Amino acid sequence: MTRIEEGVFRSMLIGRQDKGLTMRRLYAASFGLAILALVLLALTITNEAFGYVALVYKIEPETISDRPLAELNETELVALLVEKAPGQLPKMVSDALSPMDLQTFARASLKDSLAGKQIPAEYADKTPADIPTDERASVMGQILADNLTQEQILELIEAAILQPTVSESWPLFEGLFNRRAIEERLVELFPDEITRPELRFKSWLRLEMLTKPMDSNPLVSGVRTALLGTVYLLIIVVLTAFPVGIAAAIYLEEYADPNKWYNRLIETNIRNLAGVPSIIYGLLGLQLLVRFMGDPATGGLGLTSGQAFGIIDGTGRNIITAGLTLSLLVLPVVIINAQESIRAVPPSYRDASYGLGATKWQTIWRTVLPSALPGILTGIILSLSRAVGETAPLVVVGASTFIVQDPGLFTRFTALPIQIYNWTSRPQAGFRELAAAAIIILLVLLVAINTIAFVLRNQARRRLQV
Amino acid sequence: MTQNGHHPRAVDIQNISVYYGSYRAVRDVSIPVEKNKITAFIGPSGCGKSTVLRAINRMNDLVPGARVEGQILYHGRNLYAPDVDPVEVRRRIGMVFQKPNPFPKSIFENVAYGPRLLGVRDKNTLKEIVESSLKQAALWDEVKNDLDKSGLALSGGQQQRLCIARTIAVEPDVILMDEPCSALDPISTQHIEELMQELVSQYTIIIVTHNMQQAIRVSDYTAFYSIRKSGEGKEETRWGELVEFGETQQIFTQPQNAETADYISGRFG
Amino acid sequence: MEQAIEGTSYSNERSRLLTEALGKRAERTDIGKRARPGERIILILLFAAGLLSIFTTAFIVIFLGTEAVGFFQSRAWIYAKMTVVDQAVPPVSLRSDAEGAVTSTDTSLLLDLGDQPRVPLIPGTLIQIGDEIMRVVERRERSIIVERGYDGTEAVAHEAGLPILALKEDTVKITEALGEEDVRIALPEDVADSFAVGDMIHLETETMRIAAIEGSSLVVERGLEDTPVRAYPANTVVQVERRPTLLTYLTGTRWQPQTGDFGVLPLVESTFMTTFIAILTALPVGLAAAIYLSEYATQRVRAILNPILEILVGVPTVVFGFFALQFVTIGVLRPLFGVDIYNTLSAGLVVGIMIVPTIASMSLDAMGSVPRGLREASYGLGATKLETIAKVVLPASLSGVVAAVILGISRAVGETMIVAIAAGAGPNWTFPPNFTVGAETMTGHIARISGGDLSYQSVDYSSIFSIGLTLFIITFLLTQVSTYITRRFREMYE
Repeated sequence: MTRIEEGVFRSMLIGRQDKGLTMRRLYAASFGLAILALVLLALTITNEAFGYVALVYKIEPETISDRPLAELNETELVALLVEKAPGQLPKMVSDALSPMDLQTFARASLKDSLAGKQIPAEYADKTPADIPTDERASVMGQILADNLTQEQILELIEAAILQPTVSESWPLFEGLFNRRAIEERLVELFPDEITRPELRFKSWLRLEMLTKPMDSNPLVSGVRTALLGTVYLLIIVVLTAFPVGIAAAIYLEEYADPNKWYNRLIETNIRNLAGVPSIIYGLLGLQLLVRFMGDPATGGLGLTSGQAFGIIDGTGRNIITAGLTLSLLVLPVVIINAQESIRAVPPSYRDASYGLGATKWQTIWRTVLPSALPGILTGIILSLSRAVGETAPLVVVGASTFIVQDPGLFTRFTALPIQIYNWTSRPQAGFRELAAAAIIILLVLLVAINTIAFVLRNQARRRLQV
Repeated sequence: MTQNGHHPRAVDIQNISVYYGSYRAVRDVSIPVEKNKITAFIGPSGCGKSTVLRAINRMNDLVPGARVEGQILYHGRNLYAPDVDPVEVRRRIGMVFQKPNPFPKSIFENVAYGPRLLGVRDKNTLKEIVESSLKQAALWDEVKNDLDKSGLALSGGQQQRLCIARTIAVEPDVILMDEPCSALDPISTQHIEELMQELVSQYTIIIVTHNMQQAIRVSDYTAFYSIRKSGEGKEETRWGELVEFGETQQIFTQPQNAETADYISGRFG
Repeated sequence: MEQAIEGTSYSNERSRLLTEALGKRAERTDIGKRARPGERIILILLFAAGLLSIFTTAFIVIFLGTEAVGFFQSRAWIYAKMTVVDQAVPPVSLRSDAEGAVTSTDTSLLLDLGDQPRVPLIPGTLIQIGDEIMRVVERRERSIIVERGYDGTEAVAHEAGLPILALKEDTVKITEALGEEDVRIALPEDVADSFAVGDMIHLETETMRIAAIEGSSLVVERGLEDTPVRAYPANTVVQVERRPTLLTYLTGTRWQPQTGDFGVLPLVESTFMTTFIAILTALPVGLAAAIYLSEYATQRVRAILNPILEILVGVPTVVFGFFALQFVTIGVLRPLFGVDIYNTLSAGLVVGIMIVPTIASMSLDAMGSVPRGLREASYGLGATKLETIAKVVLPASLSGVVAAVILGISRAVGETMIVAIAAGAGPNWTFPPNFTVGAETMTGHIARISGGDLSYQSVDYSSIFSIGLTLFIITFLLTQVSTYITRRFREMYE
């Protein structure tokens, strides 16, 4: 046996440990990469959601007034509206000040439709339809001038008369750090100094997005219909996937005899389903729910398209089929998570309950489920988050990309991720920026869901531990 | 309780064997359990004393593949007859487990669990039942101001008394105790033993214990179990068997069986 | 004794309360069977919920299967093609000296160009010498490189000085008008031979079946499959039927079902290209992360790092798709490498980021189940931490890591939105694989095609199901292999 000199050994050891330290840093760096990816993701979204735009107007602001618009007062601005867009004034009043829709508004007296707002006393009892055509615009203008701020009226002018569209847009960081290149590009695009648009900062993420429907002009388009679609989808998933998933988990954990072939089959099957790509669920939903249970005109049963319930023009490509498809998709995840939580309930709780003369269901309902609840809730957060962001199956079952009306159960629909996908793929200026803004809304929604579920879970857990 | 007059024995175990699948874990056990007495089951680990105990309230039914042969008479009625409902059996034959196992609920809800199962909904009735159970389990004075606190917040000994209160809240007839003190400190053990002495005037108690001193201290009758073997190597099978049953006094002073004598004098296991 | 009396009173009190509340049920010795229909109903409901998953799988398999079968029964009508001499190409011939002669194996042809400044035959052109057809592969100054014996012709020796005919494809048109009663279709010379008795053909929308071939004309049965019988003028284009077969489906390199190209390979290729890049990204990162978490990180560090993986899991894939297009492609790859706006490289990289958590958490599990004893043995022999990881932990958890990678592959193959946004919007077969150009994957194709209102009878509709079935089989097999390896691995240590 040879003995290694103490010194040699020590120096070798130091070398070996140095190598260890290097590798350790490399391993830790892998997390650096993951963090970097997340940071870059956040920056990319911010970069696109805010930025600079060059707007071109259908009518140049300078041409409609001899003074800059911003210096005009309410009355002067309204006068412009009355002059240039008289026909649109009732709709503006109805949209801005009345809870009613335009048709009801036209047939209701002003004191009803505009309760609590300032209205000219002599017209209080009249309906907009009663007012003679030549007076109507000025009366409506008067109401606008009395009730809105100068800024709000400016917005109306912009939408009705100036009608800006995005000519070019630049992301935030380019606008901040490379201003000169942009200015040069503007000069190149608009050699004539008079018509050259001004470079403006633009936050594509606007609060009004939540309340405004989709629009083909990215400047004013919102996500209201998509957001509603997503919320409806979530409700359907919560109402269907969760009870069924928890029930299946209870069956498998508490009742199923694992020696029976069919129970083993169910168990393996669920694990396999969890690995099936989401787009396959889309195909399943398309064939089963949209085609076979959908429109009778193409051989379906009329169940999911609504003919069975008296809806006439349903196609089956709606919130219900999409929601049920998402339910089938998240079901395996819900079941597997619920199973794990149920399995984690100490057997001694069950013993105690049975020992007191509880039946099986009493034991499950009063002891097992309450104890498993925090875990089940965690699983539900996971699957809800997944359902919110799922896009592929919705595309396949036929989500629409442009929906202006609030969706109903049997109407065509869209959802936030669909909107993001669609806007991302559009070439026109402004839509990718809009997609980024919609992504922020989607992420906020995700964070909100997770927070709610986190609080619920902690409450349930605390109740168990008091 | 007049109907019990004909059957002074609360539980009469007659020649039972317990199987797990095809494995016969306990063979041919017969023990007459006297009413309002404490009967102790003692013996080395794996001798089947807990198995027999769990057979008495049909807890073994919950183990897949478990099966009992022979009969256990409860007030003259065979517990394993087809027309007997195991759920009802467990209500009349309550059980206290080795490790205190209160539910993760409040103290009140722990005790009210059984009456609620039976369908008692009236708040005042529940309150009275909870109070009398806790008093009888000698826990009332310690928890009467904390009924809303979690049962898990109590000390080990208190938890076990809570479990006893929970068991007696449904007014069982027989209480099975599976090594109720093995997880407790000596003082808590003493509390439980005293409690057993008080409870025995209303209930028939069967206790499994590892601790021979405890058997001597609390029980009126003792059943001694042992392990039997047959075959060698891979062929070897083990099962539990009843060796001797009698009054505790007699078992510990004049054992009839040599094996019992070895065991109680510590020369065995 | 006093306490015992007190105990009796508690007990009696409770008996009274219970009897009051419950009546006869409170009786101590009543242990008869009770009817519990509720328990039974609940069991049935719970079982039904469990059974639903079986139906889900059954429906998936049945629908994908039947529509895929439908796909293989579908057909496309494409213009019949014939090869004719391309008069537009100036005449050339083999050199007339001794070197101009070619044997049956030569692939380089020396040309006599006459007055022409350069060889007129561009690569890809088919040429004919004698009876043999060849394909031009490369054009040199005074010669061409060819692929011999093309289109089923035999490669033979040719004399020097033979003329070379450039060929081109042309649609087959009928040479004489066809009346409603006629059953004889006149075709150009030599074309009728390329049809076979029994083939189905189309003139406009009418389906006909070839009953016999006589000289240069076809005798047909008309108006089959309830198609309307009409008269057709001369020069009407003849269409032939093209059906997918399993062979053309699995080996064809063009995917355009509506025009008779049924090869799924371009879609499969790009799927595996993105997957390959994804694994290349995710494996080192995921594995390193798992090693760090398993072997180095303290409890507190883990509590900080784990959520990062969870956030990565929680980001919707459509957001990753946006990231791939806007940042990875437009922000990085395009300025640096000049890639196309759609490309498989960017999509693959981001799919890789997406599956890092999958690989990390499964590898972590695998490393966690390596027994402590093994590690301690290694330390006991004086190994450093790194040596223990490299020589003991990794080899011991190898099959677990392999299972993680396979599952990662399965997820990458099935990922849709990232590739739909960033990889490209049309099938594209590239060989050797080119990562810088756009190519649609299987999932991306399904997403794009199903985006509109598809008619349930169209080839497109059944084609996405056949792609779906292919995808399902691939991911199913991968999941099975992964599960199998994981189970074997567990058995090893438990």
